[in-house]
Amino acid sequence: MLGKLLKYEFKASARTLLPLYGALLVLSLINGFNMRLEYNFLTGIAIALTSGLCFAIAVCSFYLILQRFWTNLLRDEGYLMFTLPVKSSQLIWSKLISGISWVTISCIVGLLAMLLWFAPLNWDQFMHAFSYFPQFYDQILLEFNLLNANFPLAVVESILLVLVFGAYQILVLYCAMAVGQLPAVSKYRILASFGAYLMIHWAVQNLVIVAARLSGQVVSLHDLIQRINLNLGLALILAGVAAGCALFFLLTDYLLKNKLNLE
Amino acid sequence: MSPVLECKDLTKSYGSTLALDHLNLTFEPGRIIGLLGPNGSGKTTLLKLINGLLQPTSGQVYIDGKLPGPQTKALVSYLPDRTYLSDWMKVKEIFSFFKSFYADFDQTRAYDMLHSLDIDENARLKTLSKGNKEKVQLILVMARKARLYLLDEPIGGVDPAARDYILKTIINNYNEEATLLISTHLIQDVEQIFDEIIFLNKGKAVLQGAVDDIRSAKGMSIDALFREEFKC
Repeated sequence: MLGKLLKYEFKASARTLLPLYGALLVLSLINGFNMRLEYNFLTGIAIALTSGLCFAIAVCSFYLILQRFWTNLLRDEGYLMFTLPVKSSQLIWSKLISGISWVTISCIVGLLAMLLWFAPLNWDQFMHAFSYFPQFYDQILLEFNLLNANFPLAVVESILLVLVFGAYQILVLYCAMAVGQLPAVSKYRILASFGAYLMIHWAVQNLVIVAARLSGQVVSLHDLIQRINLNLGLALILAGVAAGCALFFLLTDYLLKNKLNLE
Repeated sequence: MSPVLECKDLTKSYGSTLALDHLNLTFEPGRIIGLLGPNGSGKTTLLKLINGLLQPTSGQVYIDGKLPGPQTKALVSYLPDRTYLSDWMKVKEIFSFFKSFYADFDQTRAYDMLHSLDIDENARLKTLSKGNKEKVQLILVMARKARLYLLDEPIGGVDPAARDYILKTIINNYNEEATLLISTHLIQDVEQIFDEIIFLNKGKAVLQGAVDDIRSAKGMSIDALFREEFKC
């Protein structure tokens, strides 16, 4: 069932984002070509349009994360989604996976657009810069060895951390919206969701501060940095954020399963 | 065998307003039941509770002996009182959406109904009139071979000519072993298809029984009885 939900979910966002991606890539190509010519009025317009499109893609990717949960689950369309023979957890997974995927695709398309725009201008310089890459990589490996850390592992950990942190931010939003629809506050759904979002962040922030102070009494930060290497540090942060994800996923699932309130 | 639907002491309040008041109902298979009552009597609330879209304040509702969940949703075909379809989808896309999620959705039957009602399968939902959107939703709901059909005001937004077709559609497509619960206040148009009725007022079942028995006991049509019972 999750696969079917995902198919539908991707399709729903694709119709907004794919045309924007297409337009951005075409415009970047035109810009790349124009850059080789002298600056003229049209170049200015093309640059303005491209910047506008980048902004639109960023806003849309974020807006769709909110809108697909709010409109598709907690408004009229929720009457269909919550009468499908699927678990509420599957609904959340489908929104989450699709949301993270689209943000990732948006970033990749953005990078590709930059490449199309600037690469033709300084192709030789571009390739020249690339020729230094192996040398650069060796230097990094050396630095990491000095730190007693593994570079490829740190890269994988960093990528995972970005993804898991993104998932965490999305799940906090979902949880806040699920709180906002509860009967006690549902007259002011938007305001209540916004309030819940701020409250969650405030609570988590304080929890982290308290936890840091308590652990600081056991082992000083200085000692900690001395003792653990970069890989272990990243792994610990990763585990902490993943635990946060699990907490807000389970909370959202509980609210949608047991406290759904489509008035 | 457990009843198709059972409400035990079902109560739902919105703040201080009591929408359903300790409702006890049991529905056996193979019946068409009219859920009748004035606006605000709790009809829609009851249907939403059965679907798990709302949670009871106290009491419980059981579908085939189970609490509302993914298993019961596979047995229930629900027509809500609003448009619940994404309006960017084409009619044929919505049909395949239903086909992929509901094992009991009969796509051939759905297309037959669509063609009889002269609706274009390639039309996007947002281009359809309100009445046609309601017809598409009704087709989706009736093309399933469900155990329990819950129809909330199925003829509210369509013209009288289409009403006859829709009622015929309901009768012809409903599976004999299934239970059909139809909520409406347009009683005159639907009265002839009911086996049983329930009069709901302020969240309580004030009258309940077989239509023929009630008609002969009261000496009037259900519509006339409704007008008398709920006179303003």
